[in-house]
Amino acid sequence: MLTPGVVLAISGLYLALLFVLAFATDRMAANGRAKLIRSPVVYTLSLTVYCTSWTFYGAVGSAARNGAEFATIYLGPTLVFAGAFFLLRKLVRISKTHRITSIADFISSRYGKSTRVAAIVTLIALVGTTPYIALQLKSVATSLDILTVGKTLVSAEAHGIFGDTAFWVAASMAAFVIIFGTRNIGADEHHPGVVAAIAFESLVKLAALVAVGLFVVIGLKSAGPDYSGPVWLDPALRGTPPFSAGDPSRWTTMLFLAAAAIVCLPRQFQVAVVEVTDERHLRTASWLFPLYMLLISFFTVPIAVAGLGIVGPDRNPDLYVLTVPLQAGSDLLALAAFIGGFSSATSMVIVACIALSIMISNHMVMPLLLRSRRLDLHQARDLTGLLLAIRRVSIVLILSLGFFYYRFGAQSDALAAIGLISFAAAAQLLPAMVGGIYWRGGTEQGAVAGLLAGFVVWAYTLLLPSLVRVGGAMPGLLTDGPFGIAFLRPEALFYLDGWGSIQHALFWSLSLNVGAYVFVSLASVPKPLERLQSALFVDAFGESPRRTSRAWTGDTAVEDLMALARRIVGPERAYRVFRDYAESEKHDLRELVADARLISFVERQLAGSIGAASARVLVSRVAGGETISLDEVITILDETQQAIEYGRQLEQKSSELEAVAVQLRLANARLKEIDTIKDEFLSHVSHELRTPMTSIRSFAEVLLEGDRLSPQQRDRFARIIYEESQRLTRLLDEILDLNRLQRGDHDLKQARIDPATTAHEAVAAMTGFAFQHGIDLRDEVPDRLGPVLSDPDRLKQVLINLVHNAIKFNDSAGGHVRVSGSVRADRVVLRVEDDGPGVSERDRARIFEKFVRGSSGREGSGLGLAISKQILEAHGGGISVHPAAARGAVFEIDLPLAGAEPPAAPAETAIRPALKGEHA
Amino acid sequence: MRPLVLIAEDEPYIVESLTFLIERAGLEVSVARDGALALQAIRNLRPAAVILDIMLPEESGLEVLRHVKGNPVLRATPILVLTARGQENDRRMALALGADAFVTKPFSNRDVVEQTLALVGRSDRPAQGPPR
Amino acid sequence: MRERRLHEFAFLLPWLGVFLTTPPTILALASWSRAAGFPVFIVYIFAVWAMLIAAAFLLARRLPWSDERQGADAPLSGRDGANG
Repeated sequence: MLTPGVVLAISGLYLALLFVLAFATDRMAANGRAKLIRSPVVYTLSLTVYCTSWTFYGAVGSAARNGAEFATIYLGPTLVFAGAFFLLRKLVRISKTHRITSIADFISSRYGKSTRVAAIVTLIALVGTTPYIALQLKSVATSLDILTVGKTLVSAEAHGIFGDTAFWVAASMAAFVIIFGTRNIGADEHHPGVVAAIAFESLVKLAALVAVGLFVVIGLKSAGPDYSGPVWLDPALRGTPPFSAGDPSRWTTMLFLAAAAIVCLPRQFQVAVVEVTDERHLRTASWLFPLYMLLISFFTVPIAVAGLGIVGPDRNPDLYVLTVPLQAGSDLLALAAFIGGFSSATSMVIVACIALSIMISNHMVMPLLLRSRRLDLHQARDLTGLLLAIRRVSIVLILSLGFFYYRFGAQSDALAAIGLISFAAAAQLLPAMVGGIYWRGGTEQGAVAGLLAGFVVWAYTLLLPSLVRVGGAMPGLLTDGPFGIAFLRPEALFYLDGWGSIQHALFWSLSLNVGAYVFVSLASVPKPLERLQSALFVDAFGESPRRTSRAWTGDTAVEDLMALARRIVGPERAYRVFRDYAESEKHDLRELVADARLISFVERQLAGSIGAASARVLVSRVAGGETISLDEVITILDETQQAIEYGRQLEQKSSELEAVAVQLRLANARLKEIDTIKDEFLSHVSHELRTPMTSIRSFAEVLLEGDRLSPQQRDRFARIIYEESQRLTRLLDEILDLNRLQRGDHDLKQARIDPATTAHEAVAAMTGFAFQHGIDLRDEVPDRLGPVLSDPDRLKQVLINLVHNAIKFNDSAGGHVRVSGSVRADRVVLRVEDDGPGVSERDRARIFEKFVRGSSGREGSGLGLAISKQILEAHGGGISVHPAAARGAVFEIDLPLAGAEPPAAPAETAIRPALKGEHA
Repeated sequence: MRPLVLIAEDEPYIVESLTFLIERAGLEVSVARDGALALQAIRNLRPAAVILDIMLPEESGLEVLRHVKGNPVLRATPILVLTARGQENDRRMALALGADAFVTKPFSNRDVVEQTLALVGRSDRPAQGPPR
Repeated sequence: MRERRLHEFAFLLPWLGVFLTTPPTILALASWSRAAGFPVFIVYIFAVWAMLIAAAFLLARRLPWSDERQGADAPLSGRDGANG
């Protein structure tokens, strides 16, 4: 028999070992040498905080009572980890991007950094975890009693508070958590010392259980008269519960609960998501963690069978892990088993306390302080100390709550039942969490409604009955319902009778939870920030973290931000944050600008210490109010959307989009160009109209004055007025003509003619004009060129215009103008060549545009060449200008020979609509 | 000798009407048909006033204005600007460059003559007598 | 192409696990247990379990866990991990 002194001394030594280990790890980590702690294996081992003393002792108890059902508690997480690539990786990715500190922070961040949601989640976590902590304290106390006294004493009754082992366990746990869990603030809530201790403990509990298992399987022989093999194979025990499959409905429920718990329990979220240093650790954990669970439960059935065989079904099966070795006389093994159970309990308590204390300080106390405005931010006070103090007080509070629940409530229930109550509470977080990362429609109001509905129903159908049973008060509540209303019986709500209490409670709580979440979400309108966050969470893999929450605007001094950061995370870390930011942005630290990027960066860093909701409130005070506008959110969402769309679509699709974008850009440029052309056109028209009007008005005024004019003057002035009004008319006709041609609604006759004839007529018509100007006009067009489809009048108009210009602008004395023609390929070409000043390089490109006259142009509207061009294009031909061999210019027009298809025609119809707009 | 007014304008009929009007008002007229010629004439003839069209070939009216008003010797020459477009932009530019008066086409005869006379009268005072 | 199939299989694995470990599949196994007088059910559960672990192990080695990591904050969080 082990004496209490020895056991307590060993327990104390074990705790001391944990302290040393955690301390050493923290020191090494501070020097950057704790590589091992950041390995995937240690990460996986830290996950096994899931295997608490409930499962350490309780799995065997469960097997002894209900058969194979014990396996569900491990199978559920196995399924989740088999799919780690999807769910867990997404949780980790989001949490790393947004500097999530706890499950409450995660859910609240998703719903617009809502303080309400964070507080509710924290409340559920606290209420749900308290029985669990009580359970750990109870198991440690009970196992200690068993080991030292040999039978289960109810410690709480045997001793006062200070005589209760559980009290000292709780106290040392509090000390451990306060020392290693609240050493610093921020840094994404990594606690390397704690992680190291947890990982170590996970090995201890596995070793202990495997040792007991091997002992049972190999060493424990039956002493019965007809059977002398291993106890666990004793045929007499074949029919006992461990060999049965159990109740299928309960099986399914527990499988689901365990799967939900592995992500929803605050401490699991802490170790799996918050403490992870590298997303890739999940790769190892996805198979190693299930393997650990398989190993730790491998001997459950043999131990349970052996317990039933040699200890007996009348003793508490939850303690077979201890009592079997004791019964077999192996005190040392029993001690090892005790240490294993002790490890399970302590690791769970430590992690749960850290997770809960972070949540309480960030989501309950800080918001209250911020709201009460007691926290004067302009006062240069370091908030780090305050935050740590809040967390320490929270830890003491959590453990006290657990301790009192244990003292007054946790005595009669089997371990498994209490554990399941906790699991069911954690499961209430599942809809808001999983819904939040896969469904963009979930809103803050929906999350609040779902969480509250689930929590209330859980408390009513599961927590309340367990308290009633323990307390013994109001037993009628369970049998008859409140005020005798059977419809509302907590364990047969709405007449759902005949199911196990867990199945019943889970069905109603989750149905109402999901229902309220979905329907209220659909019925409510999300705030801009909620829409932003929902996009960032749901599309966590779709966009780069650099783009996240760039939602701050406004003027802020870098100094203000720095001062704020210094107060929250301490001066040293604040400096590092800003230095790292400056480095990553390639800025000098002293030249940082408090732009939206820096502000949201700081906000995210602070979120790593005090949670997203509180960080937002604090930063918004410094940065000057909630400055996110709907437009900005939409911009961000659009950016996100674009990124996602781009990723989803195939190369081809994206190049199509690019092509469309290019087209749009071109169209836009074209529109702008047309707009400019339109302005110029109007300005030109106005000029061209004003010039003759000026003369007309001026001479009309002179004529009206009447006196002192000679008859010659009078005639002269009247003639000018007449000529200028004709010029005006011609100008208007030309504008209208050009407009019609460009619209394509011309009245061109399509006659089969020989352009040579037309050319002869044009030259003949201009002979007189040439003579007046002393120009030698020569017709060198052959008699026949070939048939073209053309309007002879229009073609003549073009030629006359060209010859007219050639004569008019020819300034050389005795100048020459030569008209010639030829057939080139399938086209008839006519040329008008002069030896005048020529057309400059610059003018050559734009001379066919409206109102452009050669630099030396004097008369004419400037529309002649533009009209010529339109006429020729309407015929499927073209016009161009080249420098002549010696001096002057060659205007060349071409027309397609009839019979040959006019190739330019289709292209022409395509261009026309664009040209139409020029006059609009 | 009567004061000389330079008409810088490229539209022949407008030149004709302006010449008629200015001469009838008792002043001497010289004509320049483009900007370069106008500048040359201003340098050589030193007119008592210039009626300057904005839309001139070779060098625009604004260019001429800039040269004149940027030249310490010629700066005093008063310039009446004819704006065909009547657009604020041209007007503002001309004003900024130091134009002394504006007339918008189509102009009223009396307006042009009165403004020109006023400018000539102003330039008479400092530089009395014929140009050297 | 191969990677996409791998992706799909990874997605199916947990659901396959659910199929194998929930009613009605396990109801059949539970009946076999009673008939055989031998804990077929327990053996079955552990076999499914081991298979899931093996499959997860193979997938873990082949799935692209890391190549999508593109965070601007990556160097920072790395440093935090060392110090924090």
